[in-house]
Amino acid sequence: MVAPAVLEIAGDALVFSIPDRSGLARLRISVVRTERRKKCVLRELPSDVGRLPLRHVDDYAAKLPSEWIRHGGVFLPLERGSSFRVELTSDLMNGFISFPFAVRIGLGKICAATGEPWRDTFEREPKQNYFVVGPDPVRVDGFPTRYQVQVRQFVAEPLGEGRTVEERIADRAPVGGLQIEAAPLGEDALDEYMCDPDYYDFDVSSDQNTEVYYSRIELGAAKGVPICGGHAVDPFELADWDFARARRCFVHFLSDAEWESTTAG
Amino acid sequence: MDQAKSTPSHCKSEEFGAYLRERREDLRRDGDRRWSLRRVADEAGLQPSYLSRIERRKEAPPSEEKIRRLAEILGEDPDVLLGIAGRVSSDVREIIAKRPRLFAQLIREIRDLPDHAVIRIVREVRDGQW
Repeated sequence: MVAPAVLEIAGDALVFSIPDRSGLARLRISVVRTERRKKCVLRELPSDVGRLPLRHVDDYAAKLPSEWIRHGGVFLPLERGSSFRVELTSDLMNGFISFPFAVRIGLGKICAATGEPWRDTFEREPKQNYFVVGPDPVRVDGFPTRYQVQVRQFVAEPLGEGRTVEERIADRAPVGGLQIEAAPLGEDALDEYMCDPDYYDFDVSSDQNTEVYYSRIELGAAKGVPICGGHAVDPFELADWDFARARRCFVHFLSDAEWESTTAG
Repeated sequence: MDQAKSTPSHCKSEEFGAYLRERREDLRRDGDRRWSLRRVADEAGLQPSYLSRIERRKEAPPSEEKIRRLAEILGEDPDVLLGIAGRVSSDVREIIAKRPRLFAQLIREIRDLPDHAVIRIVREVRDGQW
């Protein structure tokens, strides 16, 4: 029997883990507040300000909107105008090898890998709509631009002012927040990977064809200046991933002041 | 987990009736007739006389299905009400039956842990609709 995946909060990270015959495969997902860039400095990434704490929405149900309870998931504090990134790290199993994960990320249900509306499945065509996490941490700083190694930094903006990416390109009521779905590698592909992990290329590729986005998004924007970005082409086949054990999470954003009043006491 | 309504340490079926009556009377305190014995019995699909005997501890608690319905009507956690009735929900029994040794061991090991430590074992991020 294949052990189910578990998604939980551990410290300032979402942790997606599965018991595996080689140990515990574990993916950490953190949201990190970053320096807000005023001008383009392509060879230098924005510095980190700090990891953002997470709380279960269910623990504060009486103080949060009913829509958030319907979504489930977690929430974190994020101030208007601040920048942030998402960090994906696969822990070493037994101290020597990282378990690969496929991760979809959306901001206001706009895919951070493609810049297009969120879809219900992991896809390779026409564009790969997920990130692949291998031995090195993956950072997702913004939406893609036409330049494969550039993204436009995520910047927090409130909904309802027409400034968000989703309000500009999606024909529906805005939802805001950050959407995550993670899936582990399947058992068969893992066998091959464990034999020769160095064979698999997780480096950022220049073969991605991306679109330009200039809009802001609620609490995660792309009006920021261009910075280094891009993501790796999946070195595995789509069928190699175990989507049956994928887990999802909706991360809601609350202003700093609302966070204090909501989580106090 | 609702701390205020945690199951009493000794769950005897005669306490079920008393608990039920106390809860119903609490809700009825403002004279709200929705919580009269007759109304609650009707809602739950029970004879009023039968519910009265349950409350007066002259009858054992009803079936799991009826206890769940009473919990729904009175705004109670069904697992708590079942616990007071000395029962374990059938879905929980089914889970235990699949791996009886594991769960028996687990429950014995955590029996004296404080609530927050027990919750840590099973706390996962809930995914909803979006």
